[in-house]
Amino acid sequence: MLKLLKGSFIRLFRSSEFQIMPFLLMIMNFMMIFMERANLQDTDKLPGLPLFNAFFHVVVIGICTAVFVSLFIGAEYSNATIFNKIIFGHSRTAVYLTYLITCLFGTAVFHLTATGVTTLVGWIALGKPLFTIGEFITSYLLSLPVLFAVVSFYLAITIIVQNRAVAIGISASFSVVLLIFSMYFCDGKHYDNKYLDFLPDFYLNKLAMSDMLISEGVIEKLNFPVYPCILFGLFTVIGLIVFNNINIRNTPEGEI
Amino acid sequence: MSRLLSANLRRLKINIPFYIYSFLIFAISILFTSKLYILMFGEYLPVEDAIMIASALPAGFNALFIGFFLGREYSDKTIRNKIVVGFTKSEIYGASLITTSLVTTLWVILWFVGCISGATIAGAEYSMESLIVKAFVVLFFNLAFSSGLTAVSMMVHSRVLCIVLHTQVPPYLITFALINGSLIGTEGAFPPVIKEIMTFVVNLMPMGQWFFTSVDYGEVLYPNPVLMLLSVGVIVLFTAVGIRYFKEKEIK
Amino acid sequence: MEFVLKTNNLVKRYGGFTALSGLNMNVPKGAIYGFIGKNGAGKTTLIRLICGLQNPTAGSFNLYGTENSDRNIAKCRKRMGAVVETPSIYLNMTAEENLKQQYLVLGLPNYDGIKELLDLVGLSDTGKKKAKNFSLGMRQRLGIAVALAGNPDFLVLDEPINGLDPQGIVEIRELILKLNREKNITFLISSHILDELSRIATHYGFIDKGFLVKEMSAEELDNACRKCIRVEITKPEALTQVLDEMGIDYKFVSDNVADIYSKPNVTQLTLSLADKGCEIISLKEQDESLESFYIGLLGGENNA
Repeated sequence: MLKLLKGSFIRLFRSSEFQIMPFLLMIMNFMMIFMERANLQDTDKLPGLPLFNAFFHVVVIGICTAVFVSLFIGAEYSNATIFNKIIFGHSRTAVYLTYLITCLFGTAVFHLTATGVTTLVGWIALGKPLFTIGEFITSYLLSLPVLFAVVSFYLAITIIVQNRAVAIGISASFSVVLLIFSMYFCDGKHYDNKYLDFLPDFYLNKLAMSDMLISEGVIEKLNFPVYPCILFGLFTVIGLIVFNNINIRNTPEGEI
Repeated sequence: MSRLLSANLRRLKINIPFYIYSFLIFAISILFTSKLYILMFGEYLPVEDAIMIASALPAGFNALFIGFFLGREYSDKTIRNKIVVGFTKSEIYGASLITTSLVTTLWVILWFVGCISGATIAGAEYSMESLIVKAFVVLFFNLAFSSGLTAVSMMVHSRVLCIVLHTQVPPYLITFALINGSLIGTEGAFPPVIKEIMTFVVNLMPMGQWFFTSVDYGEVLYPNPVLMLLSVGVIVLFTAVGIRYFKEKEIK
Repeated sequence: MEFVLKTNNLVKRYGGFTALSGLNMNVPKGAIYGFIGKNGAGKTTLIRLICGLQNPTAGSFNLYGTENSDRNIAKCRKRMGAVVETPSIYLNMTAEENLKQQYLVLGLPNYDGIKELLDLVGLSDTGKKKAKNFSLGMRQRLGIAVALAGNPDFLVLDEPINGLDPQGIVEIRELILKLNREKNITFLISSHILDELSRIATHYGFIDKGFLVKEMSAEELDNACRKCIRVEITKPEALTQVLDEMGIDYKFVSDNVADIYSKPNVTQLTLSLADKGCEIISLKEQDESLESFYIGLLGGENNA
């Protein structure tokens, strides 16, 4: 499996979807920073960078993750390179876990890159961050289980569908629907409702929009994401079971 | 071009996702305006605003549908059959544009009928005259949006890339419209000239028109006839750019 | 002689790479033109240009007497059909639906002839099976059927027998010959399978590095691939003397092996050689195949 991982990571670093994703996420944050900056009445007195500005991109990270996972893993089907791994003798579990670990790593990296760069830019535009390094790290770490749940979900979809274009279509549609539902509930009244953490985007939106809507600190409102952890485990198990039993086919772009 | 159009329409006729999306647009429109919008936004929201919020449905489904429908011509390489037998690229583009426009028009009609039905079921009060005028604005900005999607699909030559662009770009454009719209309403946020330019840009964008007809930002939006005219301008622009690049792009 | 296609110094560049460098080709009307070249020689590039999928960088071509830059070229293309690289078929449709789609594109008034077309290519029993579930050979045949939908009189086939089983190869070969004979359809066929091409082509074009190295008719090729007798002997100088005395054309292919390009009296040859103390180790009749001619033309086995 180490060989598989090595190959997969090399492909990850060379893939255009991994390289472009951080920029797509940062654009969202920069738009928000621009709005904050334009709203300033006195540009000599900078208000400081709130936490939600650094994490605002989590509003679209669901869609970006959906597209990233579908593109990256879907290419294995459209190029038929998945055959190379299985014919060579690697177990399906090893192949699946390689895909999962690579996507988890990729998502974590571009999430961190977007957050980090935004913090630096926001520091210049809006002033010193209003959060500590501890709060930043805690928020980042608390958002990871949710991202992992999202990755495992879209990976399972891609494995089942076995077609890059269709996987993107289905995953993107799901992510938009999840986002709409989550944004509806993100009105401050529902923050204590832990069951809503089942909606991954709800948890992320709490992080993204909390400063605008609640008066207490962000971290107190971010309960430990138990349900996203459960979802991550569930989708990983489902994905593994399906992948071990499904007939793998080569699906060049035209086939559905 | 009529032959190309009849071939496209035949392909549409046997396209199952087209029927599924049509059904979903109609069903969601009814559900949203009869019950769902009250659950989501509370009873203070006028039903006409709820109807306008739902007017994004045709655009949302178009983002997926057009990418798959037109993108298939490249993934299956069937676009070659049309060029080999002598159709010009302008004719092929024109047929594709007319097909997507017909689909958009049908879906806008389904949205309108669905929303009116839902509002009537819920017993909500609305002004039919005002809604009909807004429906035309909705039709035009949806056509403008679908002409943009068509241009992207015809220029990009890859089904996967089409779908990625169609699903990734609109949320950013909506956020851009929202941010600029709110800044336009904020005193001192923009210098006067920039404010005028940004107001024009927000009104030009189909997403901008959708957002500000749904949410009452009275200062931002131009009058309805101007909005329709701007949408026509967007259609002409996208079509001109799309045809130009499609003609130059080589087909493998 | 009337030509369906004539190219004039066709050049095609992709960035810094030159795919075609001044290609001059002539496809006579009614011919089955076999287009032969290595991978990357430029065959598919040429086909893309004449099908209108891409524009040449320089040079021109003439289709049915109409220049490619002429506005009326589109009308000429209506007389053409093509299968370029992979078959252009809708994978989510059945064979019949694919043909109906092409009929609509061509503006044909009704769907008459679809059944006959499917019979012709051997796909009449596919029923409701979608093209995505076809084998490679079946997709290839459907691609040919789609190309034939408009009753073209010029058909361009890029590697038409790729993926076909032996039976399928025979069927396609017979189909091409039948269409050429009965409907006088001109074919331009690119292929790597030289042996197969040699059974049907009436004209040949050999392409290498974007340039047409040689163009010849089947008769000319037959003459070039001469029959000979290959003889292996113990004393080459003895053979040289005897054959020179007999006035027979010959060529040494190695130290002890020579090709004799006529039919000498074998008894006389043997006795003459024996007189000079030379033994014949082996003697056999030989044809130079299209393959060896092609390899020789393009510069030896190392270039194959």
